[in-house]
Amino acid sequence: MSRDLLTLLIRGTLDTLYMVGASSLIAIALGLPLGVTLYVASDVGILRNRPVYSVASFVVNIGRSTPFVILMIAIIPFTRWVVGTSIGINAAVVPLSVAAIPFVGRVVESSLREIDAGVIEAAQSMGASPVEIIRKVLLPEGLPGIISGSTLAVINLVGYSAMAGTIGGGGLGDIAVRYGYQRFMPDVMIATVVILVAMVQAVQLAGDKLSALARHDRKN
Amino acid sequence: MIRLSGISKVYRVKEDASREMRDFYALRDVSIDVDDGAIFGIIGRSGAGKSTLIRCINMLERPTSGRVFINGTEMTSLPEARLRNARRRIGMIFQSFNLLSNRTAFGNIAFPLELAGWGKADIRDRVREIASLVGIEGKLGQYPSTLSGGQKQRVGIARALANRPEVLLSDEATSALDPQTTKSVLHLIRDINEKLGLTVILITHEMNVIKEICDSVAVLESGKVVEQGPTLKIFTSPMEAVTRELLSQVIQSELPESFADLKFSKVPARGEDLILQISFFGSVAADPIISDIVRKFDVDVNILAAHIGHIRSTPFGTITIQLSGDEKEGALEFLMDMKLRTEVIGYVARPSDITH
Repeated sequence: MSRDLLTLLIRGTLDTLYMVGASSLIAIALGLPLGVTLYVASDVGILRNRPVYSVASFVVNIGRSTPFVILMIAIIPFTRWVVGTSIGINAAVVPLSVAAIPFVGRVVESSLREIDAGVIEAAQSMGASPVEIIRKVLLPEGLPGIISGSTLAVINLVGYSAMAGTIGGGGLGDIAVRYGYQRFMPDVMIATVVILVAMVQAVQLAGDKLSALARHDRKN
Repeated sequence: MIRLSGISKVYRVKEDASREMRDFYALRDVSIDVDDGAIFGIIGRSGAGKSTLIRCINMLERPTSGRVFINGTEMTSLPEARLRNARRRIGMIFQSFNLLSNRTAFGNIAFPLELAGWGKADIRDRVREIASLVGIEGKLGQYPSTLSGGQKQRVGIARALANRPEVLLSDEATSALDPQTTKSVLHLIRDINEKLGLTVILITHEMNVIKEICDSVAVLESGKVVEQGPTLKIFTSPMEAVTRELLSQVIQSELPESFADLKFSKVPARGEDLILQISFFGSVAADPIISDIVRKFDVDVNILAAHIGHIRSTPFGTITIQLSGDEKEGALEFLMDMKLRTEVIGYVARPSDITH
């Protein structure tokens, strides 16, 4: 493999890492409050609110049921409005984040549902306010589940980022299509696949490790 | 003083058959007064409304009607923010402990203090102090998953007591523990009740818990208080069937099997024996009743069943005897005159395998 190709692959890897990293951070930053809202407004939550839950849930379901390729194209005007362009890795971060936010939201909601209702009741009996319950009970108790769920979201984003590459997003997906597919260079194709697989493995390993560190509810 | 006055809790439930909504009374006009410093037990079978009742005290459940006063504060009328402050003065412990799994024992006990806005150094001192009171000072760095049931409940008790509450609510706190651990946790509750002078209200389905530590007891059945009074009185002269049934957990007063099929008559008949159940408590328990009647009357006494125990420090017991001989009536009269509760079960023809 030539020097140029190697540089290309390194460049592509960095681009992919950037897209995945940035969109993961944004998705977690916005998906977390969304998930908490879904949970506390739900029928089992501490601030039960049907209308809020229904609206949030509906929006999340739309986001989750739209295939990523379609979503990516459909929100181009929004992407352009946010970053000023619809091409390049910065532009790719927008649809990636938009796709991952509802996913993270659901993951957070289901992690919080795992928490024993008695623990929340105990906090209430000690005079904790809803905000204190969210900060001191729900998030710390739900943390291991939130980490595992977020790991899934990041892995999904690795896959999505390759798709984003095909419409000018850059990164490994872009390289795989332009060199591996359009120029018939199977070695490049294989190299991108190997890097993507390694990336997913690394993310999963790190996620499992972090989740285990945060988890104290079983004997080790 | 804690006063529950006319508490009712009504749920709207859907009727299975007709699909119509109807009212379900989880609690119906419950009134209870608890003296300062007392340990008050509420006992009932599952589904009697105990959990709902104890949650109505700190407004985890809002009663549909009725009022709750704790040391003069009417809980039922407090707005949300002031209710949270009031709850900080009421500790609560739970059957399933409800500890935060991702906090150590220290972190769990510190939790209510953080909520109350204590400083770090004060929290540390207070947690250590209360941990040594409940006997878990060596376990502070451990997570709940590494503690035994009894240790978890001690952490729960320490957490409930950390912010110096005036009242401790116990929701079946020992029901998940083995008998030995139950005993030690109950003794701990009694110790802190005496040391700190705090009022304890507990719910349980086990008469044994009432017997071990409660001064007074209310019996709850289908959402209503059917009987309440000092523990000793409830134990020695239960009025309601449900109370007797609950008492049978701790008092073995059943007749031997050979009596099961026999017919008891309320009137004396020639050649029949008299079966009596005698309950006694306090100083009378020390009197040699049986040898008295044997010496004074021409009767034979056969003990069929007996149980002797203590309620707090008062001895009490129940004994079932079979009297035979010519002066049964005299002996009965003598027993009736004593400070005992004597109940005539009936006259019965001697079962052949008892007389020989």
